[in-house]
Amino acid sequence: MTRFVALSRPLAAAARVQVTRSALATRAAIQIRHYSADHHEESFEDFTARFVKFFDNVDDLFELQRGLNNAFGYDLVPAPSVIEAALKAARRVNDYPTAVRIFEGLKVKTGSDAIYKQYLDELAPLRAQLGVDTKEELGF
Amino acid sequence: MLRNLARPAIRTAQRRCASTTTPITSEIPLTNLELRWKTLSAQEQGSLAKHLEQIQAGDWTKMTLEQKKAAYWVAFGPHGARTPLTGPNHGLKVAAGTAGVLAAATALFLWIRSKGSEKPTTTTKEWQEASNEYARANKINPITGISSENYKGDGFIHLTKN
Repeated sequence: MTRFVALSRPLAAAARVQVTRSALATRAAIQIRHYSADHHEESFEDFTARFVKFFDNVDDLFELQRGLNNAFGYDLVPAPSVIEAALKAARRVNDYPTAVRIFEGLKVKTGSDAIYKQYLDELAPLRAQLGVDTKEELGF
Repeated sequence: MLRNLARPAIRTAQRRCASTTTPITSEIPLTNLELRWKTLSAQEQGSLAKHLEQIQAGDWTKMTLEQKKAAYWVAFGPHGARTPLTGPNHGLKVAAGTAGVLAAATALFLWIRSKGSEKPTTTTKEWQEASNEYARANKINPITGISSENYKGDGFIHLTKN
């Protein structure tokens, strides 16, 4: 019996080494596989939060217009809170035409008069407060 | 105490004054800017843009429609880099040009056809039969062709349908 134990011990140890080695190997493989697959899909809420934060921090016209290009570059219509942040940013950088342009972009992005009108209704208070007109109201 | 009360009032009054007396008076009138923009010199355009910038720094609700229109037009109007590539009635011009070229080509085709004869003389049956006779008389292609023994083919006769 003792002989058997003495014999089996190194065997077990060797097996353990083997097991840990293979585990390490698989883990390494998984790590290698994962480094390029770690892109999560950004949700609409994340998108909104990201751009609201961006527009809140904008303090020059170039950044504002760059951010608007990016925000309107996605296959979605930015949430009203994003538009509000952008309008406030336009006010902050004292650029009235860009504020008008935001509604122009919104009209293109919504693609339907009904949704555009809903956005206009939603943003009416801020529009009145800032004095922003749409392109059509200006007569262009 | 009265002075303390009065001071902020004075300050706001002063601020009001400052904002209303900022150069609202413009050297260049803003009416019909769309038509006059091209006639302005670069310097005038620059000073106008500066002037509009100063107006925009103030309250937007107090801007006149004219000022708003001018500001929008200077920023995003069809001038400079935003000049449209094609002028008015561009589609019509392209259609007229294409029609003109097609008409000229048709006229040229018809003129050439009217000057030419209806058919070449070599396509008549008589001509081709005479060609066959000539070929046999001169023993053209005597082994496999028209002058060979037991020749069954049409020789030079290949009339078109009409």
